[in-house]
Amino acid sequence: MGSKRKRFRFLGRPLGFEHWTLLPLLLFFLALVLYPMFELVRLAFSTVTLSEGGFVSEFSGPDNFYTMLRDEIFRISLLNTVVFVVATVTLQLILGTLLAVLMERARFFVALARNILVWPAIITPVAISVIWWLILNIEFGLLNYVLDVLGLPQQAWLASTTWALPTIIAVDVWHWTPVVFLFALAGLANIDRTLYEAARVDGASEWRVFWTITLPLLVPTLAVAAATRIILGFKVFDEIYILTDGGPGRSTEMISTYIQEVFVQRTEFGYGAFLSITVVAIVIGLLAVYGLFLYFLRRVNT
Amino acid sequence: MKPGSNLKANTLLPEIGMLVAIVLTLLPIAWVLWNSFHYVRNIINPGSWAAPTLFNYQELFTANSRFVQLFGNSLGLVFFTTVLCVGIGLLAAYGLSKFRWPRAFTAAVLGLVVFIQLVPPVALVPAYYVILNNFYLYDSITGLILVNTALNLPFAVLLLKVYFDSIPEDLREAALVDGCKQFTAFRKVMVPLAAPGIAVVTILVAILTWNEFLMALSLTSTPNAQTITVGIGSYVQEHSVRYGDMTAAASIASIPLIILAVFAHRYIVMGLTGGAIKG
Repeated sequence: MGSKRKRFRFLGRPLGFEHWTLLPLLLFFLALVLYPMFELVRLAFSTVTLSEGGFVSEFSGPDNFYTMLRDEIFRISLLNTVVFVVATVTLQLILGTLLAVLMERARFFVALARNILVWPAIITPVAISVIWWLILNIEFGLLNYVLDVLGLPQQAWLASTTWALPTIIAVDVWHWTPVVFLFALAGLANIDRTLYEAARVDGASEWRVFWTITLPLLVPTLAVAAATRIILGFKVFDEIYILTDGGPGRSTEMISTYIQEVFVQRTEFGYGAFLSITVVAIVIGLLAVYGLFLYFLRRVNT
Repeated sequence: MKPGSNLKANTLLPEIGMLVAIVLTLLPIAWVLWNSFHYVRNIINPGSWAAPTLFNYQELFTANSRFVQLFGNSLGLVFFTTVLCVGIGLLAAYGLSKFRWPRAFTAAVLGLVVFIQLVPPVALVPAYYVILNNFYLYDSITGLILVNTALNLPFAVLLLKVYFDSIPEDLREAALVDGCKQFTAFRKVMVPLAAPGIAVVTILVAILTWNEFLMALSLTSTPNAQTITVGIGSYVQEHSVRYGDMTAAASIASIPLIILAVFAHRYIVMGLTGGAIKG
């Protein structure tokens, strides 16, 4: 360590290799994370207008907040997002756990399933939209074709105000259950085998073993999986933008697609920024409540 | 002993469950692949049967096709973003893991890294638009590389830091005592030890960048910088009949990822669970 040159000190250390390790990261964070965040907060309290090819922003205090309170579409998109996140995370937790439990007991298809079940989580989301569009579209979708062959009534799916949101939820469940499944599988592998055998010696049924031993021991792992999915659920964009673009009407409008509309189509940067920081605040608030809930759950259990 | 393996129903049920899950996963993917080898007239008529054809792929890759350019853009974007993320991530993770910093500083950096994950990327679009515009990087691959690097760095740093944390300090000290310079100790001793972590970060950053849609959609406007995902998105949204291009392009985007899933399964599992699970 440059012991002769101790004149330059930074963060309590003589300037040396250790500072260079962090410099590129800090430059990136400063330019492309901290500065944009600062801009976001500044824009949130401004009105931005486009004049002479440049953006001019003017401080407007809480105006955007009042606009938001009156904004019916924002309320709808927030509600849709909450429904979407609650439904997808719940279904993914149930299905992911079920798949993991089944896999622990299966033999024949284990090697194959272990590999294939991960595929949806890494396939390009835009391609996943194509995949499901080909199945769900009204005119020549596979699903309606099969329903027709079976003599069952066809549905408009993505083009129907009743079915669009449930359909989008189903697509997301297909897309992201694999990640919850991976978490659950790892959680199961960590459970002490002898606990099962002890319970079985005591004559407990499989069902009872699952509810009293497996599930409680799986909760910490599933809690992490759920937190990950909640955060990513609020960010959902690609499939909805491509499959429905928030429609029909506003029936699948999510916060992210609405903010994108406000930014890109309406170029209301100030208002869009305010909606953005509101969403960040909501996500942080939710995670705080979720963390507290888990904390009390643990205290009650012990 | 596997639980319940002596009961008939308990052995059959899991096998059936696995089979159903495999079929439900594969069927939608297989359907798009199957259709990508058919003419539009067959795609819009799901009951019809026709011999497979390479027509859609030939169309995509003809010289005057926009797709070739977008495909090249995506490859370049993935390559440079991955190199930057792994390089900067390795240095930073090593720095945070192996040197003592004021506690508030480390907490601030790691806090920021976690905080970024909570921000919906769409929130940053206007700021990126303005920044890139100011540096004449709007609608450029360079701009997309910088933005993707910034958004993937937190994951790279966190995962690699966990790796460096698990490598015993003695190894680094031994190298330094042997007269290695700091950078040599880092490059020759520590980096090889973190190889599995590097593999996870490389694979996952490459996948996420290849798949990225929102930034490419919002920060580009011409095929000079648009990526394959923007191209596929436009095939779905343009109300002209481009179903052939659409299915073939979606297949081309997905096939490399499926091949990765088959051969690098372990690393992908670790990446998807944020390094929480060693697959």
